[in-house]
Amino acid sequence: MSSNKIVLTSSDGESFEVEEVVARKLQIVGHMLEDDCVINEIPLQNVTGDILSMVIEYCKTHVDEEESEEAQTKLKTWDEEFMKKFDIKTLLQIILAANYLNVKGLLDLVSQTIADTIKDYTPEQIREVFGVENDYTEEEEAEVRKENAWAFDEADTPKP
Amino acid sequence: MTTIADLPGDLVEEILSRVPLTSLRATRSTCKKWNALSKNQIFGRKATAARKQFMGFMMKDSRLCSIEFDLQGIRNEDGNFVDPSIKQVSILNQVEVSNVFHCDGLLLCVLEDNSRLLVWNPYLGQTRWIQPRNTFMRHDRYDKNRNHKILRIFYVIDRVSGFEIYDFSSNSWKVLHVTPDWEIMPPRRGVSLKGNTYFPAQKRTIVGVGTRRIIKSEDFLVCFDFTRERFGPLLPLPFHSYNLRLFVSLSCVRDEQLAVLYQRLDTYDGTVEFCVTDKIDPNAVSWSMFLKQVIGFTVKPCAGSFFIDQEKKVAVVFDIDVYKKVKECRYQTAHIIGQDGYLKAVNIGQARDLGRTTGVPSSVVKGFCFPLVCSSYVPSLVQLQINQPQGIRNESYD
Repeated sequence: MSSNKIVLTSSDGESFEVEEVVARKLQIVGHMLEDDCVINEIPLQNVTGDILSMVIEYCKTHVDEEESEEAQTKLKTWDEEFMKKFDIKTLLQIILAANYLNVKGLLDLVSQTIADTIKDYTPEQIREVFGVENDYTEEEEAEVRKENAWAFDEADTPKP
Repeated sequence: MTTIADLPGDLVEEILSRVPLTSLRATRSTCKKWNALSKNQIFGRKATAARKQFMGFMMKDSRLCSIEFDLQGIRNEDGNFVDPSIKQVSILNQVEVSNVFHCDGLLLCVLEDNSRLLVWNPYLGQTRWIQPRNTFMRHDRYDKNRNHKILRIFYVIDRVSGFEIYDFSSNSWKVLHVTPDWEIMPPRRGVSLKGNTYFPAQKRTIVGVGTRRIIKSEDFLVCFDFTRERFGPLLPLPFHSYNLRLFVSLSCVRDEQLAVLYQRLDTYDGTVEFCVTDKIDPNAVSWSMFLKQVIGFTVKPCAGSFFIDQEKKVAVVFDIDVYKKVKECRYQTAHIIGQDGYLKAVNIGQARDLGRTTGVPSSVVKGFCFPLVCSSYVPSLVQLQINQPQGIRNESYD
């Protein structure tokens, strides 16, 4: 392959020219490149331009993952800062994109970020923030709470 | 607009699997789908492991309880010590237990009336009742492993008289034909580790003849290998009973190591010693000293269950106070024992008067329920296959 540049096009027609090593971080692209090495423009149907740009930003940063502890710590700090930029709705869009584009590291990162958000919420807050509908009857919900009451949560922790 | 409802189930599952155990109740109460998805994977495995508190199960007042013990603040002089939280397991409210064993995320309860056994997977909310083949005796001992078998030991007075194995897959008991030349003296308990159970065993030898006969007994460890369904060789403990060392109990550390607590009778100051294994398998063991401390009292061998925290170099021993004729009640105490003479007694309430003697020959805790703590809890996805509601009708054979 003469050119090291690949053009990725989003569902809303936005194009991003990236280096092949970055594009290969998207495993979906990696597989396409293996199948046919003359491709240099790849349409990505299920992801919009604004989300794709976030995924590319992540891939650019993680393009050469060094083993050294220093590099790992630096990346971890970058990841944390990167995640702080987004609200829940954007995080959900990013996780869908990471799943579709098959970027394992980003998928793990966003899953953990969303889980960390969940852990501080009451069921009511979870439903509100994530748009989840409560399909329990009052009795059923009480039963589930009772079944899991052995697990200690914040409400059980006595304050010194 | 994207909501979590737009995510495929496996992505939601991936997210939920990262939420720590302390959010289990809130997460599962959200909706039916989340409740179901959360049972396919272990919640926050890493988050749970990284927790600073001890979390496990214990028997207290004949009930199964969950216990959380924060050992962070033990050295703080500014009153930052946090008492343990002990919660009765509400779905097992009606069940009175006389013994409890923990193995691989499952809890095995012996019912107070000895009529049945109950196995519970807290994480999946599943229970399974097990009927005995014949009447349960009070001092039978049970242990189970991850292939889902239970070993039951029969006693006649305080001598082992037989063994039976229950298999979860066939839902039946069978007799194990072994005649060991050692004893497992009640109330000594085995501890499950990596799918096998290690028992404190005693070997008695008679020295001399006629009226000069002396029975010498020595303590060992013996492993029951559940795969091969047989006992291994006698393994050494890190002390000798003939040197005036009194075995108290065994404990399991993170399902990786075994710990033993024994008391020194030669120092007359109530010295306890804790050792942990460097290496352990059914055929070999080696030990290291973990903690040695003068505590000034005798830990009762019938109680004395404990757990250790290796990071903080602390052991917590659950005991019941000494019987005093003038006192109507007896208290249960968690003794926190640390390095450099650290000793703190935490009262965890009056012991339940069972209104009868326990019948343990050497028992000094007659008639009271002693607290019994299990090793720290790690959730498991072991299916109990038959998920029976509590209080199912007993079948009669008339």
